[in-house]
Amino acid sequence: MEYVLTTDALCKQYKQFQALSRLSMHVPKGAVYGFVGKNGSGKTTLIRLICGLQKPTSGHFTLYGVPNDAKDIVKSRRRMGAVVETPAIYLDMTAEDNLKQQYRILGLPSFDGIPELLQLAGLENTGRKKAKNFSLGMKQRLGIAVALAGDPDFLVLDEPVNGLDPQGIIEIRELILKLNRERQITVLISSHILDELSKLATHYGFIDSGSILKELSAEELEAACQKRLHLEVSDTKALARVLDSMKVEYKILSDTQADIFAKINISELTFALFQEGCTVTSVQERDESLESYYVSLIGGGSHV
Amino acid sequence: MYKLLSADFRRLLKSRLFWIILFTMLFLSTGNMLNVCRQASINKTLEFALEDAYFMLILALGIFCAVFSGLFLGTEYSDGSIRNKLSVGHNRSSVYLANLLLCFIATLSFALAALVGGLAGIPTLGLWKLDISVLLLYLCLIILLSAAYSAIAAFISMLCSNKAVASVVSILFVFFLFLVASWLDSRLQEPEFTQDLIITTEDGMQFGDPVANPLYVSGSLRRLFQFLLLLLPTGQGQQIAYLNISQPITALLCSTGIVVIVTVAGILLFQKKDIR
Repeated sequence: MEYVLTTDALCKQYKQFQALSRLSMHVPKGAVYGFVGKNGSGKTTLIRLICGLQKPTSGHFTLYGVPNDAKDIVKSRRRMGAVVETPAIYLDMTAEDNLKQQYRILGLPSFDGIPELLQLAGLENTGRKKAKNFSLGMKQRLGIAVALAGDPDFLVLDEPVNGLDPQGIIEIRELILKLNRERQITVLISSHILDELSKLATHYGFIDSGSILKELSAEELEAACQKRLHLEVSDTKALARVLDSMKVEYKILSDTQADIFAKINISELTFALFQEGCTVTSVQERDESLESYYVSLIGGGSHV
Repeated sequence: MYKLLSADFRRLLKSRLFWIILFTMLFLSTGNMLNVCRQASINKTLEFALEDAYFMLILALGIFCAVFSGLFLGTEYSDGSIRNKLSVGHNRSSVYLANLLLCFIATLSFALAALVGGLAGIPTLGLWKLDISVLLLYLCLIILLSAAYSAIAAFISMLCSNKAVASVVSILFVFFLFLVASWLDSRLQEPEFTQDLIITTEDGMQFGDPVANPLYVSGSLRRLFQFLLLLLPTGQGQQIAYLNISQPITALLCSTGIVVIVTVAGILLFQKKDIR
């Protein structure tokens, strides 16, 4: 598999605080890589390192196969665009002027691509309105448009939907999907809004305390997020006896509630329970979400 | 670096802050010169020359430079645009030098505005009575003084990520340099001897014997104070404003030294700076 970004045992220390601890990750080409972690887990620190805003304390990373300490890393960085934390835009300029400014920074010879970028970001009708008067969503979209000014094939977005209203979240999501599908841009998107990320990501990297806990594709995650039956019964001891005899994976939640992690015949189960003198009050089929998978991964609970 | 300079220069031309400071300098300089002209027309006994007040506003150049750089370069951090420059592959030295050059261009523009404003005195006071070579020497001193102020202001603004803090620190630092320069100047102005005893007799006024002034600075300390006064941009500014620069070549070398040392130190520290 071809990787746009790989990191190997990357460490970053701020005085007494270890922000990244031997972090190793792999972002495949063409992926929307969801970088999942709670606040302070090291997501933004990693993004700052790969953008060249900070230097790693130890370890290294490669961008398009070029090591971070090579001179050519500058050329690799020209192939990427980034929005780190807040969108980097001049607030006293219009959307068009901001893009013109970025074109000049990149040394692009003409401004021909600007109307298309404005349209892509849904900012074509902002006219002389200055960025400081934009809504949060508009600023975020302008930040993405600025990051796209160099026609990058790797886009790094740090918490792009933070603080946005539902409409803003949908707009950003659609923009990211459009960029990935129509322009084949690889996207690294960090977020702790897992539900939103699950609608976008093709790959996931779970980070906690500066280390990657697990990397997997969306398909692998789907397989890992097994379905479960949530049962309410009169006696979970009887239920446990029945499920043990059926050799089924389960978890007792209370005296009356339990989860079953397997596909079983409800009629057989109900009949077996009836023979044990136990009645079934309710049965619900539940999917394990990305959220619960993440919680279980970082040690917030276990299946069995 | 050319790309960065081009982009920054465009931003400078569109900056309201730049034009406000530029026109403030122009108005202050014009106002100051017209005031001198008014005094000259009222008090005919005093002989005023254009150069007596022509460089006066150069005294304020450091403050104008500090305000501009703190707010203009500070915006790079507050709006986050410095991240755009670095993340698209510009190296840190280029970013630093481009911002320094921009700051220099702006400060030089403020100095030029002060000099243009001073031309308002020509109809009343006539042209400069200074030799053209001396006039050119002062212009060279002003150019290098602008560079020295810019180097210091860029150093503070590029290493301090907080726009407000950078502005305040820059301004306070220039005021501090003013105080030091004023103190040095006042010590150097102390007379070697004082005659503090005056006796009035039938024969008229009689002065006491000259007494050595304990505040007089002599020997190597005097040479050190004189050097420091030339080294400090504020000290140079005072000497330029009052046309009494004692060692112009040393002054030019001091400004060049400040630019080189502060810029090299600034680039080295900026290379190591963690940008958020």
